[in-house]
Amino acid sequence: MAAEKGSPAVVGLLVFGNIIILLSGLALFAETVWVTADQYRVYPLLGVSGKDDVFAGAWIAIFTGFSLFVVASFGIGAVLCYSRGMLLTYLVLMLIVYVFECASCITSYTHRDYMVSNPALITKQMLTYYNAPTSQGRELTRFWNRVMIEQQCCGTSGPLDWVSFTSAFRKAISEAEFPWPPLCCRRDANFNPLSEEGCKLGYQDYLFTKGCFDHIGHAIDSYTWGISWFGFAILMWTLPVMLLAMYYYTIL
Amino acid sequence: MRGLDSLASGVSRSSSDLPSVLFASPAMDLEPQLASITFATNNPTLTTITLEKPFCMFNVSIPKNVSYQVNLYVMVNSGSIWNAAVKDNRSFPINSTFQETAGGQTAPYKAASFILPPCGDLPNLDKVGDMSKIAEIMSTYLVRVGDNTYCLLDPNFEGTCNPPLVRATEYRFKYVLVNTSSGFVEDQTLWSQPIQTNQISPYLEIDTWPGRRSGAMIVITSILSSLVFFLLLGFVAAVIFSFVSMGSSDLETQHESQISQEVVPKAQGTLETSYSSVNRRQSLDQAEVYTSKLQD
Repeated sequence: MAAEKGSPAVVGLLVFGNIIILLSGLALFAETVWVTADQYRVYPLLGVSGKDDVFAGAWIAIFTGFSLFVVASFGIGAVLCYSRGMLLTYLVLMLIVYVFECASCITSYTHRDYMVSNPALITKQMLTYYNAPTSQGRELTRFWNRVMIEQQCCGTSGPLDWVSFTSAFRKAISEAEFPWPPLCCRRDANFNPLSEEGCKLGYQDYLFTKGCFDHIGHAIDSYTWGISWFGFAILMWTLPVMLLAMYYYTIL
Repeated sequence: MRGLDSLASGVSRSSSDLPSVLFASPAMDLEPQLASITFATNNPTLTTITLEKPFCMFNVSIPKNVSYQVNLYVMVNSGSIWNAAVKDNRSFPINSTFQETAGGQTAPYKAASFILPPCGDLPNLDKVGDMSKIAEIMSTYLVRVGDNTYCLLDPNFEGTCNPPLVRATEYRFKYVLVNTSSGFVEDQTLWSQPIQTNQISPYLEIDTWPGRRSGAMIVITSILSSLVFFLLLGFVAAVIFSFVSMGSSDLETQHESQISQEVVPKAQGTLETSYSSVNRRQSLDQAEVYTSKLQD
């Protein structure tokens, strides 16, 4: 069966291509573990919206990254053993992994568009859930409190989000009482507001006038870039390697 | 623009210029101004409007022994604004309240009154960066209409009540200079331009449709989908092609074996007798081959 062993150039190319796939699979695995670890801690935003496809993409990519590593290693073995059976197994497995990796890239980026292509969704979510007495509300309130303190920002596009729209927060606290959450106020080292009155009035030195959307958008974007574009690059590389493997299968 | 707005925009102007510029026109041409956005990000709010106090608006040379106060009148913007009087026929300022005028709808009401800020005490905006001074600057230079949420509810409240305004309503404002010793109105500004209180819109109406898809999403989706298609196509083609070629190569090997079967017996035929004893423990099929060869 293995009488005609294919040219050494094809074998060399296949081994080289698979080594690259193997390494980048491992990198993808590591990178998506970083994503699911959620360093920016924006998961509550996606969780509350009922869709967490950015993270779903990351979980799929953890699987496919590791699978790429394993299958590409197997592929090197298959090529070096000149075994048709092994090569066919390699091609089938690789196709399955390829389809899953495509799904991961597309899902992740589509959901990113849904979340942060404009601030409307995040704004609406913030107004709906901030200070709401539900478990989702408590989770999102914690999230926003932390982000506003850490990033020194207020609201999604700025403090005026809180006064231009009704909200769960506005239902509880009238505008005259406090126009925006007190955590929008600039604070001193002891965490006391520099001036509560000035903050209520909206004096710029007492209030965070920047919106938090930049931070949130940046976090979700960097996750999606990691999953989608890196995955895309790997898939672009995998395609010619697989085509070559198919050619090799036919001549083996 | 007069007052803080002009000051804020002209901070770099040398301080010696300011008084002459500010004194140039009499109060008759001036009107109350909305506070600078530096001081009040959220202005107007739903129920409040923050104005600048009338700095150097009134063209009076203040004698040392006379003190002046400024009354702020508020009225809902309407056609009758031009007939609205803020002093009676004896030139005393009116003292109508929020309740008496139905919140400023029928006539102006007095919302606040404060000592005339001395013109020499111009806001020093160099201090704006100084945190400790800002509270003082704000109380000195700003007046907030609609600030007092409790005075309407308190039956014992005395003084000028400044209750919250109505949302999404246009208001006009006027400063009136009153001589505290004689009680006469000495000067007044024009009615301000209509200033509307804020309107709140329900959050449920926010449209969360993401709009146009990003180019990256389109690129990734379309390219990857077509690549999977081509890959599957290639795989199917490879499998079919290899089956076809495997079939043909099987035929070739069969043919070869037929040839070898023709050839081999000649070679083996001569050695047949000598091998027969040695190969006694050969497998069944081999034995069959040999018997067929023997027949040949």
